[in-house]
Amino acid sequence: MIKFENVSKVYEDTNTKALSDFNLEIETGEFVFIVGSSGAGKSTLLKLMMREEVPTTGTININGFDLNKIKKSKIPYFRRSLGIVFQDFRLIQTMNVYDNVAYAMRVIGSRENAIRKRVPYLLGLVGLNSKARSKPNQLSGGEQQRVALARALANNANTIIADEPTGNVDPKMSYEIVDLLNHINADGTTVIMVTHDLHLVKTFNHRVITIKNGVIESDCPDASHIDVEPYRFENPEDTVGSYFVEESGEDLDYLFQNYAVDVSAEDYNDPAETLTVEETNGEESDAE
Amino acid sequence: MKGASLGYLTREGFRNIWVNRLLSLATVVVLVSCLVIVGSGTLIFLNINSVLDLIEDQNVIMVYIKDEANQEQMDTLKNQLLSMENIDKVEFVSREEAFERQKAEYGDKAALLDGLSADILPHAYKVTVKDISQFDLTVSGVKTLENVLQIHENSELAGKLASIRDAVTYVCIGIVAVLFFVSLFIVANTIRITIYNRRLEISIMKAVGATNTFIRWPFVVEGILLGIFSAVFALGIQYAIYAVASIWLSNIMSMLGGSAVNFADYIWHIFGIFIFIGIFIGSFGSVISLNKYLKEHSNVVDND
Repeated sequence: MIKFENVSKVYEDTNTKALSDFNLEIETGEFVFIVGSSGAGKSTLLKLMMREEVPTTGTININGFDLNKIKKSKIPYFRRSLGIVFQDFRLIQTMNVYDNVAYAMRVIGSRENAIRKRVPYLLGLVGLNSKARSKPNQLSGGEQQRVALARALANNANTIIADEPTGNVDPKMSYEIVDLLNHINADGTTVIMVTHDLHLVKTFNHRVITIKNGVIESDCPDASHIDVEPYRFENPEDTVGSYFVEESGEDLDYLFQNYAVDVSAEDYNDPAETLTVEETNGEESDAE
Repeated sequence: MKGASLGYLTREGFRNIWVNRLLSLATVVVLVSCLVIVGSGTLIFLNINSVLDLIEDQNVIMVYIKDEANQEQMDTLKNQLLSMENIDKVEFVSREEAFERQKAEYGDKAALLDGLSADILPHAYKVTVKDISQFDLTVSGVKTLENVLQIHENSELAGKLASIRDAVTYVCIGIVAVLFFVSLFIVANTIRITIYNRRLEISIMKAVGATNTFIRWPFVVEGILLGIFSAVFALGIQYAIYAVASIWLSNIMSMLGGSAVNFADYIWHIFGIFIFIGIFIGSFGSVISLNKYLKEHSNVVDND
């Protein structure tokens, strides 16, 4: 759960008031779009959520962590409860897809056998098992964003923060990415997506929070107030979401051979397993 | 930190050296240059020291013994001299020996001493001091002993030697200290470029909840490894430089009656200094740069 109470943020060096008297509550399992023009305060909101900034006044509570009182040494542990994806994907170009996702687990001290189970599962989830050994620059924008999403999910985050994840991809791929976020949300993960794309907001019809000049202008339970057309694709069944039915081909064999994957292929396709795997929780993630 | 994670992060440190090989090479070149200058300074210092040792060995106190002292009293005096802190060795010079030496020094004019016997001279002890800077103190100590007739010493030379040695020591320590900080500064800056090159990785690490210890570790490993590589290279280069330099150094030293310090005698000392400085500067340079980076630039949301 995310709770902002009377939060204001003033950047003292430039004397800019980025947020003022901001009140927000997002329940666990919600899907929320945050929209607003440039300079509205979205970036500050994300920085406060990631505990990169502290509020000037007011209190923030996320996933049981009081961000006003949290010790500096505990911030990394708090961040493990969040998964973040960015507009520019931020994948490491020298690593292949598998290692990019595994990286998120390795740097918090996860065991290699947990990584070998979890990463193929996540790649299956985002439909990229067949691209496990590709480098990011061999993938399309949409595929790169799916890798970034798999990485955000690697440490079992219960909240996904997506900062304009569709900003660098075409409408069809944008649809695919949000569709994927929708699937993830359906399994109980909270999704907060900052976007400029009102067509997407209209298409997926979730709660919409509009920020303007550092305050919440509107907070609506759906997108009915937005006056744009939703996306429509000619044959959505053929083009959209096709990655979910990916069959395990020779690249899955590659994963078995090279990373000694020790889970059966059924694990990837079992919808009941989706996002409920708990093999890499806190006790395996020792950092000091 | 768990063993597996430590292993992964250590491997990352190795990998980083290869991935950023141009910058690693730059760091090693800077470190090797500084180490070789430090090593050369140390070798010059050792050689000057050995010259000073030679000269100091010739700077002795002659302690003349009263004629009335018997053998037992002379032995007591010798023991008292030997028990003094700053005295290295005590050598008995009999009046006969001294007379013969005097004659030899007179050379052609030795006939002047004809008709005189050795009895005109006193017995003496030739005393060598350990620390020449304590020379005056030792002389005044010797003067208080019984059965001492007279003391002959050259405190002016001793004073000069002591001040030269002090000056050489301070200059060498000063040069090493300055170079140490210069190397630290240059290495820290080189590593800062490496860190800047990897700001994306650091930003991802922070975003997914890696602790600062985890973020630092590969850089520290990298710094330590570069320090070790540099120390090994520097030792080889130092050996080659000294092999050439010792040819003309030996010429100078032989004029003073000594020989150039043998590199092999000090190889482990020099390697120890190189390893220590290399590892210290490498790891500390990494930590300084990374702490500064993590404090000032490392953002999660804006990766700039």
